[in-house]
Amino acid sequence: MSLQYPPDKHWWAHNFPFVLGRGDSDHVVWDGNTFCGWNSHYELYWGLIQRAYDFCIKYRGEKEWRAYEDGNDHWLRSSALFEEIKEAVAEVVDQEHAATITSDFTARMERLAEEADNFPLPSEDRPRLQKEQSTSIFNFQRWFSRVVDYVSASWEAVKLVLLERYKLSPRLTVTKSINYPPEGDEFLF
Amino acid sequence: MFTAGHFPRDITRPRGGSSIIERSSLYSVFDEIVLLEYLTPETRQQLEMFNRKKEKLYNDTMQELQLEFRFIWLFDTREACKVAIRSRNG
Repeated sequence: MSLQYPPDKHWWAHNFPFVLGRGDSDHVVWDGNTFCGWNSHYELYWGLIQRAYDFCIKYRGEKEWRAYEDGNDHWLRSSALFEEIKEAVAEVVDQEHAATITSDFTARMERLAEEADNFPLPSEDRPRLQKEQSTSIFNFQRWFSRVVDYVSASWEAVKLVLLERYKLSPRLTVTKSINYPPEGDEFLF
Repeated sequence: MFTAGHFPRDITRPRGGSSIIERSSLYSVFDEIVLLEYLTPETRQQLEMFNRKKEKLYNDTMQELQLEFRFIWLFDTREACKVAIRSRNG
């Protein structure tokens, strides 16, 4: 994401959800609000998308979500800003105009970032959103759950062989072919 | 391998999320949990091939039906996320 030049179309088509923060539950509280989409003109607004990505990783996390739960509207304002960015990067404009848009949104994100820097860290007495992994070597609960898993799986296997033998017989359905272009679908932009 | 990771009692085993999502809304059509300990390089390749074919079938079917929905497959592990992001960093 720190590269000077935007990625190729194929990379973008397969990885843009990661750019939006989906899957990065260590940093981002995912609420579905995004700053761009699959059809955004990332090649034109690459600098803005890089800045929005950094903002998302840093200021759309648990700390900001806690502040929102405590009544601060920072989260809503950053969501609204994301919505504006998403609309802006869907438009094709000339380079000069794109640079102006980028600097405008960057300044607004910086103001929100400064505000979020002053939020208190999430207090330890409140449960974290993300489940933390146990670090102990032996964990009785984990051991017990594995035993339960193995017993359940064994029971399912016995049931299949003794009581549900019809599931082992070959399917009666006939596969039906769907004619589709050998080259597959193409992305429209 | 598939759905075995859905057992909610033990969340400590490393797992990945295999999802097909609609690319505009980012809604999931399905999310499967895969226990990473069962993925060898070979089965990982099979998993990817299977899901890429599934993604293609979804999209070609939508195209045939003249519907605007298009889908992408994501294998969502923290590792995958980092690889995707870092691959642009050289």
